[in-house]
Amino acid sequence: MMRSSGLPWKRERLTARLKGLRVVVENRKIMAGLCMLVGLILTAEIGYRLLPYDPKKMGDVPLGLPPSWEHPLGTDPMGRDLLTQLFYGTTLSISIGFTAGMIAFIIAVLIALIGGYYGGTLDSILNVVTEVFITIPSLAILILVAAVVGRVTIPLMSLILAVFSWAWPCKVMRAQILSLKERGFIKLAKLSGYRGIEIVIREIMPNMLPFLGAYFAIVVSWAMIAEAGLELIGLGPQYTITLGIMLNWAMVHAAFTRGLVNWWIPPVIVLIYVFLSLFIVSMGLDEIGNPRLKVKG
Amino acid sequence: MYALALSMAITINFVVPRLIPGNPVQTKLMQLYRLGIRLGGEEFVEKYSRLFSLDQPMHIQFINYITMLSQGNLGFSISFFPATVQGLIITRLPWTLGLLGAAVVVSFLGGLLLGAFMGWTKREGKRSRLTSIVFGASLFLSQMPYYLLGMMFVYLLTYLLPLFPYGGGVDITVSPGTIDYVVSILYHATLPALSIVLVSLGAWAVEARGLMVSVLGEDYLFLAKAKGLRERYVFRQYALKNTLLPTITDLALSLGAVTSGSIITEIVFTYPGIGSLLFNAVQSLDYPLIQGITLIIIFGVTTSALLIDLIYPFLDPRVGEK
Repeated sequence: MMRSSGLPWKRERLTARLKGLRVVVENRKIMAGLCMLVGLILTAEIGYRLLPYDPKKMGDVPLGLPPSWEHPLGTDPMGRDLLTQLFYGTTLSISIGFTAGMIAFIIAVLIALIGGYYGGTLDSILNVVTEVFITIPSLAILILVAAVVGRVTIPLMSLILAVFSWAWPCKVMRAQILSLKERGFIKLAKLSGYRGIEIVIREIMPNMLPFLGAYFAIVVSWAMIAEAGLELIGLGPQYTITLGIMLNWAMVHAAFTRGLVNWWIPPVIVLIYVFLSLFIVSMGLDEIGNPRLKVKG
Repeated sequence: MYALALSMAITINFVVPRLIPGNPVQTKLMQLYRLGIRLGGEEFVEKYSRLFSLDQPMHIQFINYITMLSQGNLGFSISFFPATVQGLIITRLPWTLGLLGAAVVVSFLGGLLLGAFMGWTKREGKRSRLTSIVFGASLFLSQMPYYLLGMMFVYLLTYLLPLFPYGGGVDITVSPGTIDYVVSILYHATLPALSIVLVSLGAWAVEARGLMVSVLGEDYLFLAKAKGLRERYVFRQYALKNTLLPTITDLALSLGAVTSGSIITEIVFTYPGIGSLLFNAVQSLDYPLIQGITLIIIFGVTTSALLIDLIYPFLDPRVGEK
C-alpha cells in the first residue's frame, strides 16, 4: 500500500466506497431503471405545474370530452382534466408506494437482523410472527382495516400498506443473514473481539447492501400493487387522486366496456412502467450482489 | 403456526371494528341514514346489539364471538338484512373456489413444468433463443398485478373483439343442470382465470427455472448420465422430481397472495364470487358481512396451507425421516 499522510485506512475505506458506487453506476440495468423512474417523476411534476387545471375539483372543465389539443386525454364525466389527474396521481401513487415500502423495509431489516443474528427463542418467536403475516392474505385484512377506518388519509394508507408487506422480504433477508453468519469473515470478526452490533453494522450490512437494495425495489413495487388494488376497489384515501383512484372512477363508470380508452389505459400504462422500472433496478442490484447471475445470463 | 395465524386473524377481526368509539351498529346505521338508506331502525339496533352482546364487557363479548364462530354463525348482513352472512357467503363460495382452485392448480403445474424445461435447456452451457424469450415473458408477467392484466382482457376480448362475455358467472338464460350450463360457466370463467393463471404461471416458471439450474450441478445427475440413462429419463426421474418438491412449501405460502389478487380480479370481471360480495359489502358499509368474508378467506387460506404442509411428507420421503 502506498504510504500517505493522514489516516491511510480511512482513505482506503473511502476508495472502497467509491468503487462500490462505481459498480452501481456502471450497471446498465440499475441506471436504466433509475432513469426511467426519475424521468417519469420529472415529467409528472413538470407537466402538472404546466397544466392550468385542478385534478380534484369537479366541474373544473367541460364534462366527458374526448381527447383534444386542450385536453390531451380528454375529461372525465365529473369535469376533471384527465392528463392533470394522471400527472398528479403518478407523483402521489409513487410517493405513497415509496413511503410504505420504506417503512416495511425498515421493519423487515430490523426483525431479520435481530432474529437472524442473535438467534435463540427471540428468533423463533419473530420467525413465527413473520410466517403468520405471510400466510394471512394481506388484502383481506387491508380491506377490513380500510373499511372500518372509513376516512383513510395518505399517511395512514402508507402505514397500513407497510404493516402488510414487510413479512416476505423479512423471511428472505433472515435466510441470507443466517448463511452469512456461518462465513469465515464473520467468525474472524467474532474472534477479533467485535461485539454483536459492530459485526452486524460493519460486516453483515455491507455484504448485504446490493441484496437489500434489490429487496427495497421489490417491496416498493409490491406496496404499489397493493395500493392500486385497494384504491381500485374504492378503499384508498378520499378526496384526492392517485393512479388507483383514477382506475376506480373509470371502473365505477364502466369505462372498460364503454370504450373510454383515454380514461383507463394511461394509468394502467404508467403503473406497468413503474413496476417494470423498479423490477429492472432490482435485477441490476441482484447482479451486483450475486455476480454468478451475470455469467449465467 | 397455522392455528396461530388463524387465531390472530380472528382476534384482528374482533378487535379492529371495536376500536371505533360508540355502538358500531348504530354508527353504521347513521352513516347509511345520511346516505338516504333506511333500515330496521331502533329495533334492528337492539336486536343486533343483543346478538353480539355489545352491551357486555369485552372479554364476554370475545367469548360469545368465539362461540358463535364455532357454531358457524357469522351474524346478519346489514345491506341484505334478513339474510345471514353465512348464507350469503355460501351462495358465492363455489364460484370463488372453482375459479381460484382451477387457476392455482393449472398455473402451479404448468409454470413448474415450463420453468423446469427452461432450466433443463441450460445444461452443459447450452443456450436457446426460444428459452430466453419465454423466460423474459415469464419475468415480465410475474411482475404484473392480476387486475391490470384482467382489465386488458376485459377491454381487448370483451369490448374490442367480443370473443368472451363480460360480467357474471353464467348465462342466466341457460337452465341449470344441462351441458350448456356447464359450458357457459367455463366460458365465463375463462378470462378471469386466465389473468390469474398467466401471472402466477410466470412466477412459478421463474422459480422452477432457478431451482432446475441449481439441480443441474448435482452429482446424481452426472452419475445418471454416466450410467448411460437416456436424457428424457434423467430429466423425468432425477432432475424434475428434485426441482418440483421444494416448491410445494412455497405453494402453501403463496396461497394468501393469490387469494388477495383474485379478490380484485373478481371485482374487475364482476364475477359472482366472494371478492365481488366483499366489494358490495364495502360499498354499502355492510361490515358484519365484510368481517365474515375476511374471516372465511383467511380460514380458507390457512386451512389449505395446513393441508399442503400435511401432505408434503408423503410426497417427499426425506422430510418424514427428519
